[in-house]
Amino acid sequence: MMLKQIRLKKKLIKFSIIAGVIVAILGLLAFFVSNYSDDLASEQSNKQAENDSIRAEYNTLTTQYGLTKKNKELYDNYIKSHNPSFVLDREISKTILKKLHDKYNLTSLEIVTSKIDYLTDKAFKTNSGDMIKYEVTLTFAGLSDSSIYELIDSLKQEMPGIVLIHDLKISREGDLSQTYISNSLNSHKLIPLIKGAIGFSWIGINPQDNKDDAAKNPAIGNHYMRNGGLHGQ
Amino acid sequence: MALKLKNKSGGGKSSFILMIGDEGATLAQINKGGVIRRLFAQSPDPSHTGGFDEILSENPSAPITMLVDMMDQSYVVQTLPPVSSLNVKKIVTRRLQKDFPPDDIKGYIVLGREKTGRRDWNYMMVSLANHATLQKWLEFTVERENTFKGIGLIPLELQSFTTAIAKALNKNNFEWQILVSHNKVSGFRQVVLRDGKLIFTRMAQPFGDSQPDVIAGNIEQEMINTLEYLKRLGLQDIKSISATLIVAEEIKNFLDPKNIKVGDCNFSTPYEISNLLALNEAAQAKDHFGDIVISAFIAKQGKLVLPLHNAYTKKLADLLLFIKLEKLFVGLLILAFLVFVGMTGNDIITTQDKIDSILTEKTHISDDLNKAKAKSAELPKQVSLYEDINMMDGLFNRKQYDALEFINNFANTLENVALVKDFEWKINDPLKIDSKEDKRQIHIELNLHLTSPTEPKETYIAAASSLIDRINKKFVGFDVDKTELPGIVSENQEVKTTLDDSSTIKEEKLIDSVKVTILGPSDKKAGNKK
Repeated sequence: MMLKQIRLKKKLIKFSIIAGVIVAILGLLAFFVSNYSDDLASEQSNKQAENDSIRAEYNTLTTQYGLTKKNKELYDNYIKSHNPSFVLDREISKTILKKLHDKYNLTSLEIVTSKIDYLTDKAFKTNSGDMIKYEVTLTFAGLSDSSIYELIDSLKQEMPGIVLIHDLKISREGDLSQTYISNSLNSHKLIPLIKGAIGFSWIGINPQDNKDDAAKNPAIGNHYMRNGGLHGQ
Repeated sequence: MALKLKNKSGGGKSSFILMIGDEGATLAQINKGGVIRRLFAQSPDPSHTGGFDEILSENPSAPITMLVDMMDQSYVVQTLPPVSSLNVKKIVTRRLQKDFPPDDIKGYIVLGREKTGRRDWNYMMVSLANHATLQKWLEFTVERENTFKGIGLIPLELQSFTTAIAKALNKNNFEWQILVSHNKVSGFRQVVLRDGKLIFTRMAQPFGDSQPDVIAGNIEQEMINTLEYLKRLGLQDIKSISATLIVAEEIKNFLDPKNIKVGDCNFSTPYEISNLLALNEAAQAKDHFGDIVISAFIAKQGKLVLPLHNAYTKKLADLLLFIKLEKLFVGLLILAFLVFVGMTGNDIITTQDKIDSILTEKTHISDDLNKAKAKSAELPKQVSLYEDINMMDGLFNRKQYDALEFINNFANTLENVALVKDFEWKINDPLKIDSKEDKRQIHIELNLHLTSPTEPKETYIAAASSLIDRINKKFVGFDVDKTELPGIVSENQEVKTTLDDSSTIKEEKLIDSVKVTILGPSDKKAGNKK
């Protein structure tokens, strides 16, 4: 009478074992599938991160390229009419001024150059070095006002850095008359018809590495320029 | 000895109804709602159950339902106190153990609660004597491969059968319904329903001669006896009774409704009932007994009103339930796994596609990056220096603050009516400047010598005024100031007066120059433009 019960119990046990095996196999399969899926998702995330990094680098580079190109173009345009150097050197300024003195027939030229001054205001913040300035006063005498204007133009173009003229005074001392010519011939020298003074801020950049030395020894700036410096850009 | 009533091979999902009584048992094989095989055995003795063995073994997956139509059945209606449904079941179980012999197969049916008063519970407790014949049939049935679905009691199951017939005959408006079925396994089974509920059942064995007229007489007498008994149960009007008698054609011919004396009387053969209830091939035209028709109807119902189990079959049912649940669990698990694998697989494919796409994209953007690097390498490295120089150029080389620009502009205004004797051009606070704002002010002082003739005076004044106008127009945004024009005598000027021979008064201004002062720009925005 108990045979069927035994049979069913055996069936139940057998099926439980099979069910257990099935559950175990399915569990393992699910585990592996899930792991594989997670690994793949992780791989996707990593690769996406790599791409994002490359894209970010590309964007930075492109932006930088655009800025650099724009700055290079502006700089190239600037140096068409200006001295490309921004290293200030009092010695070389003397050479330039001597040349201009001769070129524009100045009867006299007196140069007063101040000590170096660092422009530390945040408006003048530079990255390639410290912005520096000399205050220069030129007192001159010459034959015509137009030569003074040309002198000013040459100063702005030939001097390194920026010549920011803030004072200009010109007065006419006389006219080019027969009396003037006679007097000049008698005195064996050119008598100036024009006198005046130019005050300007001479502004440039002291390269980062040379900051201290340049302040003490302006020749370092000159050396920098002679060895390529800004002329080479 | 087994009597094979019909033999057909069945396909598809079959089930068996084993109806047992004191006179033997019938086995009906039901397939797709139709009876495909039916067998009769006089007893559970192996010499009689060979046919049963054969078809049951042929269909081991077909479940067996046992219907019992034996004498020793008890039905007791009990009213129990209005306790909770959980507690009332405990009370009923206790009462079953107490009121009936321990070996009986017992069960109960909830009849509902009283609608008024204490709302007592009404239960029908049912007991089936577990005598030797029943035990043998159970042993024969249960120990097979076929699943045992439980024991059904014919009187209970006939409630729905009787109601279905009354409905089909359109007689269901009668308060009382009597069904008499002549069954091979048991005899004449009577059930009486009042308002669709089983109220009385009895069974009678045909006695004496088996001639149809004698049997018909027996039936009529049994009906009369039943009616007498029903009067004790509250029957007041026999017109409120509808009776259906399922008998063989031969017996039917001898039955007379006048002898039965009920409101409505219907005599049908098993074949007619089979057709009436659309029980496919449940009976043949010549069939004498209602067993197979009842079996087919109950099979069609799908489940028993009260499936009973003894302790052993209960254990088997529990084991089967466990196996079924386990299968269901594994099935659900497999389904869940398939869904999981499907979804994860889809994710994997999608992710793989994305990775491929990312890798393709990587190739492109790496190329772009390399090109950008190569392009950048062509550019000089001193970007910061260029930036600084461009910044300084923009900051300090502003046209409006250029002395030469001023001189050029001013020279254009003179138009040969004046000469500049001397001038002073000055920027106050030359470094008071930043990229957003330029606070510098230019201060210019010029000493002009007017060269146009002083006579006629009107022409001279006009030329001088025109010069000042031109200066004003040229230096919009600057404050232009001047001293008195030469040739115009005001109270503030020194004059020399000469009277000649003709007494003409000749006045001559001693100062022949004008001092112009230009200050600005007053419009700060103009000063910011390069």
